[in-house]
Amino acid sequence: MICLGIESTAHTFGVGIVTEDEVLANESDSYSGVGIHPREAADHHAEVAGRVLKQALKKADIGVTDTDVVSFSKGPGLGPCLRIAATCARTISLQSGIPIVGVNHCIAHVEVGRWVTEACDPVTLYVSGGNTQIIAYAGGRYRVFGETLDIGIGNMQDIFGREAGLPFPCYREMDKMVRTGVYIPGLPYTVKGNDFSFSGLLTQALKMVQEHTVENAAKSLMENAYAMVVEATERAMAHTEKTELLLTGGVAASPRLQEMCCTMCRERDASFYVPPHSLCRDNGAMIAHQGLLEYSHGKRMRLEDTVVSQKWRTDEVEITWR
Amino acid sequence: MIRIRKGAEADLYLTEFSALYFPWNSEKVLIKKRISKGYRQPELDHELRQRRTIHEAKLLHEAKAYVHTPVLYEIDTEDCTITMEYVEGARAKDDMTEDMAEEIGACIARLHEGGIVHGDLTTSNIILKGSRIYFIDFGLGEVTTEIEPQAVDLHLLKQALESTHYTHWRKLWKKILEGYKTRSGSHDVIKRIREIEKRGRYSKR
Repeated sequence: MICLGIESTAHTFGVGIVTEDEVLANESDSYSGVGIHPREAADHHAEVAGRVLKQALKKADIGVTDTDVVSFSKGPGLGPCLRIAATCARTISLQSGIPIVGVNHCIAHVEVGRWVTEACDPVTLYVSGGNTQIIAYAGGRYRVFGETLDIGIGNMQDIFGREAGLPFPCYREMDKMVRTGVYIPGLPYTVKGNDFSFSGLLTQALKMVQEHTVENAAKSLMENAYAMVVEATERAMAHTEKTELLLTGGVAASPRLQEMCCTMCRERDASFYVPPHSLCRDNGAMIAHQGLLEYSHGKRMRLEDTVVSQKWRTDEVEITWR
Repeated sequence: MIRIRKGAEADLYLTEFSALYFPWNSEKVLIKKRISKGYRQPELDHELRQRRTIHEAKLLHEAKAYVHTPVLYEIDTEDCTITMEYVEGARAKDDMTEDMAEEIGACIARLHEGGIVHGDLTTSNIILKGSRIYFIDFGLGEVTTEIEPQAVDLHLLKQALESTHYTHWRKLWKKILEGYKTRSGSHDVIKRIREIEKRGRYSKR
C-alpha cells in the first residue's frame, strides 16, 4: 500500500510518500521569516504546495493515482497553515477518488520514530519550536507525562537568538556556542513535577547578555533548558517504568541534547533512540506513515470530518493500531 | 544495606536503625541518596542535589505539623543523603479509593494552609499505611502562601491522576477537590488551576 502524506502545521510544507516498508519520498519547503506569521506562512505553503507535491511524486516515481490513501496533519498547529495541507489532501482525494485520513501531528512524530528505530514502547521527548512534551503510551492512549507550562524550547531559543542579535535561524550558531561557551551558574532552573517552564529562564539569560558574552549566556541558557527537559523525562521514565527513550522534533538535532539524553539513559540502563533528522523535524513522511497506519487499522474519514483541529491534544487521539 | 529503588533523582536504600545508630531499636530505616547526574553541568548538578536535600529535610520536618511524614534521623549535605523512617505501606499509585482521595485533598489543604507546597504531588509520593496517609518526596517543595504555586501543586496532581489513573481519574479528582475545599481560600486556588490549564499548550479555552 502507498500513502501520500501532507504536513503543514507551522513553518514547513512537506509531502512524504511511504509504503509499509520504506520512505519513497520526503520533500519539503520551509517558510523562512524571523519568527512565524501564520498567514504569511500559509501563503508560502500555498505557493510551494504544487511544486513540492510534484517533486515528491517524481522522487517516488509514481503518479497521484498510484497512491492508496492520502493523509494530512489535521492538527495541532496554526490554523491558516493547517488549512493548506487539508485543502491539498481533499483536492487529491476528491479528484482521484482516494480515501483521506487526517492525523495528529504529535503522534505522527512518535509513530515514525517507532517505525524507523528499534524503540517499541518508549517515553518520547518531543522537542520543537512550539511543542515540548513528554509522551508515553499508557492504557490505550498516548498520554502527556510532562510538558512546557509556557513556550516551546525552540521558541525560547529563537527569541533568545533574535534578542541577542544572532542571525535567523539561530540554532546552528547556538549549538556551536553550547559547545564552545563557558557555563555560568545561577540561571533559573524551573521544574515543577514533570512540567517545566522556560520564560523566566529566558528573561534571566537575556539579562545575562548585558554582563557576559552572548556565547556564555547562550551556553548557560541551553544547558539549563536541556537539563530541565532531560530531568523531567527521566522522572517520566521512572514513573511509567519504561526503559526506552525516543527523542524527536526539530530540536532533537541538537548534539548537546542528544548527548545529555544518551548519558541519562546510560546511567539508568535504558536505550536511547533518535530518528534521522529528516524524520525528526516536521515532515511529510511521518504524516504519510501515520495515515497508512491508521488507514490499515480501519480508520476512515468523510470529507466533513476533515476540518482542521488547531488545539488537538495528544491524549485525545483514539489509538487503534497498538 | 540494600537498594530497594532506583528513582529518577535518588536511590533508596533500606537498612536497620540498629545497624546505623543504637542496638535497641529494630525499626527499618530508609536512606535516600540523591545521585549525581552525568548529563548536567557539575555546578548545576551539585547545587540542585544539595538544595533539594536541605529543602526536603526541612519540609519533611515542617510538614509534620499538618500531615504524616517520615521521621528524620540524619542529613548529609555533602553526600546529599537523608536518613529517615521507612514507611511500610502501599503507594496511592497502586491503590487509591474515592474516600482516600477526599482525605488526601484535606491533607493537601492543611499543608497549603500551613504554607507548604509539595511541588511534586504524584500518587507515587503518597503512601497509605493503615489509615494514615504519608507524604514523601518534598524535594521540589516550597514554603509559600501564594495562590499560584498552590494551584500548580494541585494541577500536577490532577495531571498525575489523568495519566496514571485514567479509568476513574475524574471521580478521584472530584473527591480530592471536595477534601481540599475544607480550607479557607480554596475557591481562589481552584479558580487558579483553571487559569493555569488555559496557559498550557492546546488547552480548551
